[in-house]
Amino acid sequence: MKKLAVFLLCLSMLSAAAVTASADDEPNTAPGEATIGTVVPDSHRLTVNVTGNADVTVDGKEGTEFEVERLSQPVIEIKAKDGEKLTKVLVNGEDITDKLEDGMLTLDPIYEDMTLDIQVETEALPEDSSDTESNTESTPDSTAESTTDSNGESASESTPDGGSPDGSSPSGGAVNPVTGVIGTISAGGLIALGAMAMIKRRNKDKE
Amino acid sequence: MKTARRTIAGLAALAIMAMPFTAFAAEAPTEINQDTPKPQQGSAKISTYVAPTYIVTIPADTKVSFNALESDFGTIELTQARLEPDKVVRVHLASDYKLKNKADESRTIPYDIVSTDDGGKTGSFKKFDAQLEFEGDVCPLTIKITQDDWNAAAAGDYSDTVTFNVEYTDTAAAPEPEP
Repeated sequence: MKKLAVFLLCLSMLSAAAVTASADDEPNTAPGEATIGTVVPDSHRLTVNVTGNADVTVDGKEGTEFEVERLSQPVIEIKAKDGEKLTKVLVNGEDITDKLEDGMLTLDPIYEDMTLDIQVETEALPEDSSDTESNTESTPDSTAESTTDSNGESASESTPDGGSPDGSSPSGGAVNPVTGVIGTISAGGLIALGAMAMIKRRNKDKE
Repeated sequence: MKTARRTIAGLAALAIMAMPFTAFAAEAPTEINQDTPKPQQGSAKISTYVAPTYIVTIPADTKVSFNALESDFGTIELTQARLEPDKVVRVHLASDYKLKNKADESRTIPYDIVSTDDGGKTGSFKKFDAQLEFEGDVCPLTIKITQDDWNAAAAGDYSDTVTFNVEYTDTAAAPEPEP
């Protein structure tokens, strides 16, 4: 009897635990995800092809291929060879001669690998407009006299055309390019020189 | 002892009373006999219910090549579809449509996701959702980035997550796609 009662009790507890289920009227949403990714490079290759009588540098560096930072603006410098000057510069077919400043051009921001085809036209510089200038004027026609005194020292004098030479014999005479006056040594100077020579000789005898 | 037995019996009786049991409404049996007026016929209704089922496959993670103006982004596909006549499966793409730089999220690359139907009409998922109705319906997706946006993009790794929200809904509630 006891066992029967316990059995019935357990059975009833199981039955009473029935769960009521009902259909859900709300719309079903099932989320899913997907990721989109990309990589933007931090540098690009710049290739420079030059035709013409000129040297080209990029940011001061020589070469034909350069690795430049993305979105940077490299500066290219175009220099004609010695004795030549630039007359026309084409970059990828575009005439940029007028855009050059002191032979330099700043490029637009670099956003991809690119090639610059640079065509340079030059012409020879004329002779009298040479870059190098002489700092000295040409000396006028002159005659040079050289005298040797008793001490074996010589002095020379040059006299320009139309000039009035001194009667004395000068030492180290030179033409003053500013004034055009011949430097001469006066008689007093000569005497001083002679005195110095005598002192020197006496010192030698003492030794 | 007797008290315990009585107690147990009483509890058992109470538990049995609490048991739910299903009651069925009794349907009157249809009988046709010699007394049934003509025409002597009866009917019985047979009914059943087939629950709707479907599987929607969405694109996997995708890498876009640098400087690519258009990139394949896979498809949204409806398979094992058994839908009610006036129902569709609607897929909405949730995204801010900007690839964000992992080192600096203020740097972004805008993009769009489009689909072209059989008639050659292209629509952006910024403005409409995909609607799938029949078994095998496929909606191909393309990622579009303009050249100007690529040119302005700073260097670095970029990414964005697109969430596909699937809804089983009435055909009438689904909006028409806009070009």
